[in-house]
Amino acid sequence: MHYPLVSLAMRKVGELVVTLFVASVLIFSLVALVPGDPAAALAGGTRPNPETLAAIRRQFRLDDPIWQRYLGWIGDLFTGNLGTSFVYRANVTDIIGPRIGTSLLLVAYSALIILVVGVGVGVAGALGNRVVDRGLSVLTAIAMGAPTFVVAIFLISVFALGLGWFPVFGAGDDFGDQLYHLTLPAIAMSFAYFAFVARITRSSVRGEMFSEHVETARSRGLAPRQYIPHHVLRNASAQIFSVAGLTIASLFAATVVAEQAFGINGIGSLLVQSAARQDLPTVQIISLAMVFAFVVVNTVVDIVNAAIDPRTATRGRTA
Amino acid sequence: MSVAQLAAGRSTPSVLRRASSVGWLTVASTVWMLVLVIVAVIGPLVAPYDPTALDLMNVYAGPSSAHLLGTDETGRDILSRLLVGTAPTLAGPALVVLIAGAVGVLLALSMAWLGGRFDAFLSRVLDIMFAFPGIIVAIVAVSIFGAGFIAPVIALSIAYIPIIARILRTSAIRQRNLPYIAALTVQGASPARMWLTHLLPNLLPIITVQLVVSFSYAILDISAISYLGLGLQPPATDWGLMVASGQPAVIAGHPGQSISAAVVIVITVVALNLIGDRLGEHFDVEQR
Repeated sequence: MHYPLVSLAMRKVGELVVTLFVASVLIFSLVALVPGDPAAALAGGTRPNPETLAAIRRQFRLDDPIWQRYLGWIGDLFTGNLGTSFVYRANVTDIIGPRIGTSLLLVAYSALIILVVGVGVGVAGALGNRVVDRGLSVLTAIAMGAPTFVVAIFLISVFALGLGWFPVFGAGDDFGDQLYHLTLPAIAMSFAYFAFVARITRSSVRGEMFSEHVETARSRGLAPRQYIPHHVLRNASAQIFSVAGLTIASLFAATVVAEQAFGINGIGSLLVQSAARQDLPTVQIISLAMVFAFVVVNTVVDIVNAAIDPRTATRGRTA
Repeated sequence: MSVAQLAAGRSTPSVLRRASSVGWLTVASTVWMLVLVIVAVIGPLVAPYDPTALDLMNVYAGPSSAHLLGTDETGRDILSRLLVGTAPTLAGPALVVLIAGAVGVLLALSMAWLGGRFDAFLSRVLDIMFAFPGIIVAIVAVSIFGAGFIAPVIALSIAYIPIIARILRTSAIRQRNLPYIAALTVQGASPARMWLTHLLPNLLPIITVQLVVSFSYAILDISAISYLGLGLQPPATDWGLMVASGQPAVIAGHPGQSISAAVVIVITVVALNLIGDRLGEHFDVEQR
């Protein structure tokens, strides 16, 4: 019985490697798209002098053929050398290092909110009465239309300025303080996603409630607390988990807006600032990292999902 | 196809009857979108003030008969800025949907039609493209070509292609395998005739729903890019930019500008989602 799962896992990991390889080639070749001298492009918004340009040509091996440059770049990445940002005049590793923990904590925090609140609201809507269901659907419809930066403004004016419960800016110092600072950003970031997960959960649980095996259980006189956990929720869990997984994978990209809105020094806000200053070496590393995170989380979700619901392993779906 | 046309199929001629059969929320959403399209065209003509005219004696004014939505940090009329900002706010996402829709439909149909290795290869390509979130592609494009209106629009168009093409491909394959296509093939119908007079019309409902939903996502993405300061640049303005430029004032206790722009963004996106849901229900399109 284990074999479909193993072969699925191997296929997924294979796809992951191909995707990451293509992504790294695409992101690497961005420099070639820039109009004009690639050395000047890599220098970003700065006005480089001839020595800097020569240093850039040397560091990025601009006189070598493109495939050698790619191999050099990717080889450096594997050894932990992420290159130099000429805008920040620093090693990209040193710029990203202190910021990455904040972003990861923010993503984890939001993921927790999405799972707990999204699934909770969805199940409540599916099992609750008409009024509860109707109210929650209106709520999720509005939440899905509210972009992160709008929710951020709303949360800042109500909970940070109005009630004074939370800080307006920054990421905090120690772990507890960080959690406190990241609460509003995490809510802002998870808002649209939790609504999406809630809707999928609702329709999925609803679907199971009217499936034949549940009808049978009901007609045999089983109480809801007997058939709901084992027959309804267990069957609905695979679809819920796969959608929740996809949204959690998307959270890495969502940090861009949330961190900028709340002035948090994470890699999302760094990406925005680097893009505005056309700092290509930094943009390349962060965008590659975000694609990497998205693909890895998706692959893990696919494999875990197949473990939860063996039917998906043999159905051979691609995500 | 508009919601009004959907209702036109019913026998009762009364406009009100039609409206209630479609659902008031959907009618209201459609009216809102129509008004926005009109405002996008005539916005600069009906704006009560010049959207860039400063009035430093009258900053952060609250709503009044002179300024219905008040003024911003330099005394500019917020309502006028919203009206003038409507066109750029909608034009970017509209372009994204048109470009991604055209390419996506073409890809989906040719993948379904040709099948085999062509389909398998392009499916892999779409899977890989799917790993690039739209907003990241847009930001990367900005880092190469500089901030502005064009780079994020082109980047998002590319990022939306796999989303549209994937869903349409599944429906196109289902259509392609139906007996009527086989019957037409036996009759010697040309592929062009089959595509244009049969396949495309039959797929039109799901294409419409897909484009409406994508339009609402594109508004979210383009507004976010503007909010981040990577899209349209001042003195031009759109709603995302207005939310951002009003943010310092929110902290100073004058949330007027940010809130006004935020509310119109949310209403627009919710309206489009409701229209999309209703169209999907009407056409019995299975979403996702």
